Amino acid sequence: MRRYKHVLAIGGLSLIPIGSYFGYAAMIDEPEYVVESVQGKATDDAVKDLHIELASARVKPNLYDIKLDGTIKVSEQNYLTSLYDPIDINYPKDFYRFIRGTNVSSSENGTYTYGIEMKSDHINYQSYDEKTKKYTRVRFPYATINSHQYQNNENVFQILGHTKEQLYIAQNAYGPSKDMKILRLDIKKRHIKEVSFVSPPPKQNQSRTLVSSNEFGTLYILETTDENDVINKFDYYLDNGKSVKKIKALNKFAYNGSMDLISDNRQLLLYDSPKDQSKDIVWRIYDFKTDKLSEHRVTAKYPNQFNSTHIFNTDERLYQVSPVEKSNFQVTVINLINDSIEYQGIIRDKNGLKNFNIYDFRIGQ
Amino acid sequence: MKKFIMLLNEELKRGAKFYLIALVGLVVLEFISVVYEIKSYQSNVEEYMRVDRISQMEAVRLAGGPFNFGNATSYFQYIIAIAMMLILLLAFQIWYRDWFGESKYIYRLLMLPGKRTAILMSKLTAVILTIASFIGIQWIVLLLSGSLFKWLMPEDLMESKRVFGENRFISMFYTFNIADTFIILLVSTLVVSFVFLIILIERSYRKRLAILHVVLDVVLLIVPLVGLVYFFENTHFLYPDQITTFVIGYFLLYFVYVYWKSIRLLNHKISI
Repeated sequence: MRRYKHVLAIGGLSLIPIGSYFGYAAMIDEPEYVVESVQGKATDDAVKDLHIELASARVKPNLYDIKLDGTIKVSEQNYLTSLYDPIDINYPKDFYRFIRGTNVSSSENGTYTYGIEMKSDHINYQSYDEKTKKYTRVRFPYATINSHQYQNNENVFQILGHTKEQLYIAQNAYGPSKDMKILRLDIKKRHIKEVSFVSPPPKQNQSRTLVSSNEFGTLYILETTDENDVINKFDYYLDNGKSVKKIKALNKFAYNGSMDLISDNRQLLLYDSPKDQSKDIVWRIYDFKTDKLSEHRVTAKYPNQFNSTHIFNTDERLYQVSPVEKSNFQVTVINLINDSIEYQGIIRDKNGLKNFNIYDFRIGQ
Repeated sequence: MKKFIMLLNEELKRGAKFYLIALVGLVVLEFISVVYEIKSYQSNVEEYMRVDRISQMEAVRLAGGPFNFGNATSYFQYIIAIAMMLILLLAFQIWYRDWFGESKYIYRLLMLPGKRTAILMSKLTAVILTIASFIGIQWIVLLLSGSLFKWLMPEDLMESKRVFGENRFISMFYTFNIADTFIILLVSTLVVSFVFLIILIERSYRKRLAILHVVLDVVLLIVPLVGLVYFFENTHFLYPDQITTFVIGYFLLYFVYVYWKSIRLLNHKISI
């Protein structure tokens, strides 16, 4: 042994402290999550593909992908895993190649990802639904003259609304307003129709943000700023191609919330993170046909946590997950058709560890 | 194996002085830096209170807020950078001392019976053990510095007693994921192996030919990799994740080549 004393000494100096570090790392508490369904079942259609990803803000940043049936996948976040991005791999290869194309505008809406490419005499359209795995490819004959020069990959299209058969998009949505066109893509008939838009271009102290488009017209927000660039006027307008009217009902809604078309493009769902610590979950629906805004409310089991709630919606449901108490998370699924809680459950950490945040919240495989 | 351990012991013995001086020097420097940072902050706060005749709370605000362990160890990043430089120096020194030392030790090494691979592996293992011991000792220094910080720093000036996660640079080395430590050691091994290859090329060829070989090996690492990644990204032939796997695979393959070439040079080109 004495012959190898230097190997033993320096080997010991390496192994003993590193072993102590590994021991320390192994002793760091990990959360032990269990899901308790308060209402509804984890196997229900509404929640069976729901994923809630929780990440630790502590020294050992593991990722916990939790399904409500209690399946928990722990991913260690190390230097190697951080090089990989798991998102794109879910797309079919052809779709991935298409949306990564230089001149393709891509955007996401709910579980859908769209890609639109403008050619001189046609528009290539492709979409992929993460939920149903449906991949759609359509070539629309359409000739256009584009006076605005866009950079590669600049998002020249904005999705304004979609039904099973139709897609409303704004072409040159973010360029000069004179170049902006609203198009209706009929996916079944493979036909494009220009949607009439008669609103005057915004003035120098105004900016227009398109919200949605459907059979009733195109909804947009017009912001007017004063000489100090502070927004002093904020109005919703609906342009039906013949006239423009102000939608006063919508002005009551705080403009930083989310707005999504539902009910086959006929209603606008408006929701926001809770602004109080009540147990109520509130959302609003604007009906284009009746021009009425209605407020809807359900009561959850635990109070809302200010500004930390994650929300998204599908056509029929509103999904919400929020941290409650010190280390638990409440998942609520609201049925928008009958204003009821379809599912509610608590993700509880048996070890009661703090500092865990919602990293992602999605429907998918 | 016996030959390898014997050679490894010899390499560590020959480098023990360098190792001990570097290790003790760096550890002492780190402790001094922690004490200096704490005392300097305290004296700043006292100075503000004395000169401006303000409360301690106000003085702490003027001094940049309460002090944390990240502030106390802000010099560690420079000391760790010095350690990295010393490791690089060691990678060169471990070969050249055998050629340029008084005893021309390399001749004894090369004349040893058996394969010369053991020479390369013993030198590489000696450097990797040095790196591992630096990482390990740094961990102990971190724990002791944490205790020193809590002992020296008055609680009313302290932001928190947390030791981990306060210094971003140190957090890069101590992520508490065991895999990361092995990744750090693997990357270090790759870098050291490349340095060894450069040394062996320099010892094997005349000046111009040696430069040409080094340039070719660097080109072999960079040009095909950059070219293929550019091709994959522009044709979307691979998903980004697949490109990442390709890059990692290319690096590993390249280092198989580095080992192959190093062993080949040692066996066939370097002569007594």
